[in-house]
Amino acid sequence: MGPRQVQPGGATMKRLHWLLCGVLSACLLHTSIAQAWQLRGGGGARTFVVPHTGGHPPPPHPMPQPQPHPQPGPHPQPEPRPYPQPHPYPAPRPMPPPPPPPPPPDNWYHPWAAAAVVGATTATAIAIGSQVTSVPADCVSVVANNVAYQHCGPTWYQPRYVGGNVQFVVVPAPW
Amino acid sequence: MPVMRPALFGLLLMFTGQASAAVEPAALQALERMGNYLRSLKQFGVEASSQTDQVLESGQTVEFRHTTRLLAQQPDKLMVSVDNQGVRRTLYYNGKRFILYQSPGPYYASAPAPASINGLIDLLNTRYGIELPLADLFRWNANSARQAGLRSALLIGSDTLDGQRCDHYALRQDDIDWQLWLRQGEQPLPCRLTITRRDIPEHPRHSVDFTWQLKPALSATSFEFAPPHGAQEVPLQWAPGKYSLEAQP
Repeated sequence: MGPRQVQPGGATMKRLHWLLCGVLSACLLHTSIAQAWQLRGGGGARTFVVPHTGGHPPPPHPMPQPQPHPQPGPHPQPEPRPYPQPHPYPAPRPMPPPPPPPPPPDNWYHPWAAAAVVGATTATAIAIGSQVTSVPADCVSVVANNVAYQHCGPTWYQPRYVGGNVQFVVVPAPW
Repeated sequence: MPVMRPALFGLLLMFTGQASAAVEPAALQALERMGNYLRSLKQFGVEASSQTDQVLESGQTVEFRHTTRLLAQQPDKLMVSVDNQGVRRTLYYNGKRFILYQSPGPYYASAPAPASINGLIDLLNTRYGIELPLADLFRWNANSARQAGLRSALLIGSDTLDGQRCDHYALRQDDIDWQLWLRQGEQPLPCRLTITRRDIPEHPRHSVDFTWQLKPALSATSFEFAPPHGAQEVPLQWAPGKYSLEAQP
């Protein structure tokens, strides 16, 4: 009775073991593309004492407002399309996994910028809407219609400030 | 059970006794004095060296070091830069617009700004998700202790920090423990500040040492951004602040 009950458990354990191994090696492969360490979202020290709202009621939840650029700037920029869209470039290789969304930007003292996934190489197309903190060294700085881009093989990045940091967002080709 | 009950009662007494004794009026007064003094400064410069913990996915905590330089002239001029690992990020505010510039690099962003430093702090926070570095220095006022929801405020002792004699206070709010070293004498300025989060098990900590300059050398260009050759203006993305969305006590 006893040993027979142990047997199936052992088999399950073994299968679980291989599964874990697979997951682990997949993770290792993935991080070797990206970076050896990742921030835990929300795991940064708090850098202020007095609450932001300073006694005022907190502002209404601004999430539903679809206005990423509130200032009437002279930037006729192409809007990045939503994420899981087929991009128009022939990808020479399988698409890399999209970078994780950045942690909340407590921009000055938390290294969220440094920890985001850096675009692999210029040869790899990256999904439109992806955001990285730096672009490969062989990208070319281009200004089209008064908008700054970094052109990297099949990928066009638009630099912008998110919090206090420069970020590069993958956008459709300007021409 | 009959033995347990008095013991529990005694424990309860001990805790409630501690809680009621924890906010020392003298400590609150010291905070208020600091707030009033900070609000009285028409201009100042401060250099802050800080260490900030960050928890990794692995659960390990690592520390990042920064140097912050801030120059302020009330009510509407500000320049603050934060250096870390060879990158300097600077915010300029001249009373009309603010500029963000990360160097080295060609890109900067700019947007209209309200007419006071405090208005700027609110705008940065609510619209752009940017918490002004050292914003506490501008936010602290006579009511801050109440707004922050202090649960405990104690004088621990005094230390000499960077040649200054400073009183050491320990304070406690719902989610954080913090310690403040406050300069003794007529200029009650922060000498040092540490903030420890208690809401996650790793207890990440942020600590800052302040060097004050109460007669900073200011000129007409101190708060103006001079774009480097080839600089390009890029968009500034709206992004909500994490804490600004949370209701505060």
